[in-house]
Amino acid sequence: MTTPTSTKPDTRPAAAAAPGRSAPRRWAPGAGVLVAVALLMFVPAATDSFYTFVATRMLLLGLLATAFNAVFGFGGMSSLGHAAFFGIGGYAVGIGVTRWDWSPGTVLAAALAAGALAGAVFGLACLRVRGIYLLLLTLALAQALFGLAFYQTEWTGGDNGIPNIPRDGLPAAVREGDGYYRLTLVVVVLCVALLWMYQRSPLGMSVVGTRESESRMSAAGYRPGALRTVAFAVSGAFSAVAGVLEVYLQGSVSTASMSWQISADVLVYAILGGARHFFGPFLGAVAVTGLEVWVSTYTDRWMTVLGVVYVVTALFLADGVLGRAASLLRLARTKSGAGSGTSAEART
Amino acid sequence: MLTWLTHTVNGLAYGSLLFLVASGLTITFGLLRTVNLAHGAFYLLGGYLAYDLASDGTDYWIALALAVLAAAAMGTVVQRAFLHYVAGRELPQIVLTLGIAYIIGDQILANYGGDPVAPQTPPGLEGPVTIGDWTFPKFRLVMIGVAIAVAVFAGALLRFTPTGAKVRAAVDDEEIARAVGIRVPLIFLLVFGFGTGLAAFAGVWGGAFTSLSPDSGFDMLLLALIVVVVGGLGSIGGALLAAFAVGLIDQYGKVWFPEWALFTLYASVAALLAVRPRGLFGKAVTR
Amino acid sequence: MTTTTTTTPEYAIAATSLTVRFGAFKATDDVTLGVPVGERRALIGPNGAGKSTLFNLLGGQLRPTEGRVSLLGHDVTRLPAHRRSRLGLARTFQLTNLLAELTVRQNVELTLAARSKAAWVFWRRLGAVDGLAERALDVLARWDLDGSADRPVRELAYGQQRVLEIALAMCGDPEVLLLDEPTAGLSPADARRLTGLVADLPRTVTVVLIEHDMEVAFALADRVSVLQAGRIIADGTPDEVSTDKRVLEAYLGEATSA
Repeated sequence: MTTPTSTKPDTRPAAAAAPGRSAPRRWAPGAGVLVAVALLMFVPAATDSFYTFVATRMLLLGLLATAFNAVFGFGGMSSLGHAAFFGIGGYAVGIGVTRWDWSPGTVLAAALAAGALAGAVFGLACLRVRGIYLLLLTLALAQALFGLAFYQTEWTGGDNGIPNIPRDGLPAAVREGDGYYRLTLVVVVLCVALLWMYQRSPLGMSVVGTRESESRMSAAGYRPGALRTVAFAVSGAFSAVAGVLEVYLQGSVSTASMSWQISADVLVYAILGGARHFFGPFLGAVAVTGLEVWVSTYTDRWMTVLGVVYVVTALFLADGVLGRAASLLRLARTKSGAGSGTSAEART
Repeated sequence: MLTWLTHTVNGLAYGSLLFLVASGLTITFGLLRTVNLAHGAFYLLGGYLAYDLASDGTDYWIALALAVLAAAAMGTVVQRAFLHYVAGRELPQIVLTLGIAYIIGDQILANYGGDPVAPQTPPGLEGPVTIGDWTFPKFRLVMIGVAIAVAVFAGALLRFTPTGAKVRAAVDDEEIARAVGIRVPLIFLLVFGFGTGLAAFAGVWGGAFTSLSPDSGFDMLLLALIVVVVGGLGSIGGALLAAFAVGLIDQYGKVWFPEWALFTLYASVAALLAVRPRGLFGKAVTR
Repeated sequence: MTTTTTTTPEYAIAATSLTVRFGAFKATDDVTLGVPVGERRALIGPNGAGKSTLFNLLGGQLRPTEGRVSLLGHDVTRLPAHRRSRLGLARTFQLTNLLAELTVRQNVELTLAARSKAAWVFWRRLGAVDGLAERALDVLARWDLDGSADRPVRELAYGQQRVLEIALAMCGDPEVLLLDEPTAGLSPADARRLTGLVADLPRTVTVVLIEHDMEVAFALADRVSVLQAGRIIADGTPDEVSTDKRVLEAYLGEATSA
């Protein structure tokens, strides 16, 4: 059996935050997030158009990673097929806008529905498989969709994709550059907030329960298979939204949006940031995207650097940056007196 | 009629190439429980090294041997220096080998450029074979023979040597294999080197078969993964049959329904995995 | 079909000719067993006798090769575990089986939510739905676990984990409770405490328990069934069973022939 992270002590999900805190403390994080979002609104004012573009990509890739983690970190299922959902969102824009002149609202609804449907299919197909077989099965499913995108040229434009997708449907204020960044920010914040609510809701928490023990959950009256399917559907729907944002940003869609390398990248974002923490994957996406921009100013060999990032992540960051930080924090607290220390723990 | 024969033998020859890549992958999985996603990179490494050496005037067969040895050596280094530290943990292994694949692929891109190169056909194997009215490239026929020979050889190793017995034990029952202490590092090194060497050999000949480009490493990896999955992870005989099947489906698919070929291939693999995770020839799991 | 013992509703849980094969090996061999409503039944037998396998058949974790299982008059042979749970069956596992990374409170809240409208709610916090937080606090207080409510379960002492298992099993007000070695691995003091908790369970709940400690089994049970090599070899009150020749042979035979 695989679970996404190793046996290191810090594996408490973010959704496990203790309730029953006093009112000011409970509102503090919410207020902090609001302030942060308000500040992020001013990013375009502080940078040029290139960095605004980068920031937009960070946001939408962060959303993709957060959605991915509904299956990966919280569901305990290692998917290597999330490019499919991202691509579905992308082609919803490309095909919907160029063929039927869909409005952005229609595109979004279609992408959510198609992403959820595809996610449910993935979830159902994966009912009987675990570990390495789950990785391979999700990869095969995503590649099957890639095959469609590649060869159904009449619909998808094949390898060249669909270029010059008009953005006329978007209100003029948010069509380009800074405005589009702000639109992306609002959509991403909304989606991430919904995912946050879902993740700590009874439904989301029971998916986490399934990660911990399927037999315990079914003995309690839950259907683990249904919960796994729900996790995939939720994840697929929001991943598709990220794909929609990407394609409106780029103005074109191609098979690159469905390439398995996206699936691998998002997996690494999640591990690198810390899959057991709600914001870990988002952090990972921002970090790797930022690194790419920074490295690219010095060298053309970004893929080599990315490879090194993968290797380092695998060898040293199984719990991710946030996982590391949390265990350091706990260690410090233990040393300073209180705390219960770490516990040796047998995993199932 | 003869066209069909050509398509069929072409499919088998392509399947043979896939088998050469997949055999190393499946053996590595059998013993190490690692799906080595850097396998395609070793394919590239072998192909480009031999191509480079041969175009500098080295004798073809010496170039081939050097390329295979270099890839095998590099494989053992990767296993000892990196994979060794994530033994038994699938997810880090996948991320790690992908990272190594990126690095090797990117370095090849930097050195040789992104355009496909066409390595030479092995000397002595050029030209066609003519049987009655039917002509077919000699090289491709030899490829089929080599694949079968490798399958028999690897199969015999697995069946008749102590190392092979351990590999089979590990494939049959991972838990027990671990419990009796089969995870001997030296065997790991040898198996891993053997696997990457095979991949390099496949790269040298596969380059001559289909041409070589930095992208082709991952294309081969994905097809080889299909072969390994369908054949049952860890099964040599299964991999050979699956490789032939995939080669034929690929060939016929390109002729009959090109728009659906890739989808059909992956969708059937997905369906198989969903129903029989251990593949057609693997041990059925009872869950 | 009208009056077979198993379909008579006075049996809370019953097995008829239950057999399960793993290859050629019969882990459960033609077991017929009926536990009347409200009874305390102990299952004893040497190691490998098939006690946990029988529990997995009753609980729905395993499907039988032959035979039937009925729960409160319903034929549940083909029903998966979660459906049996909804009919009123709860169980604990031989090896502690909890949601280890979640807090004690979350374990309870999730278990309570399974049987409430809350299960499919996705927009509100787990504890905020359907009074789950308050109900969970009640449960925790009742089982004396409120001190560690916000600790991850994996940090609890083993004895507390076993208590939590029973607390979770009782969350859904089950009519039938299967306890798989509730006191295994506990210190004598913890074992005594747990035995007391089981003894104090309301009489409306039918309890079947696997128990290694004869003293505990005989103290708790109204009747005892003895399993050996997948078969039931004796069945009776604690007094009857403790003097049964075959039972003595089964235990002594194991000791001498081994």
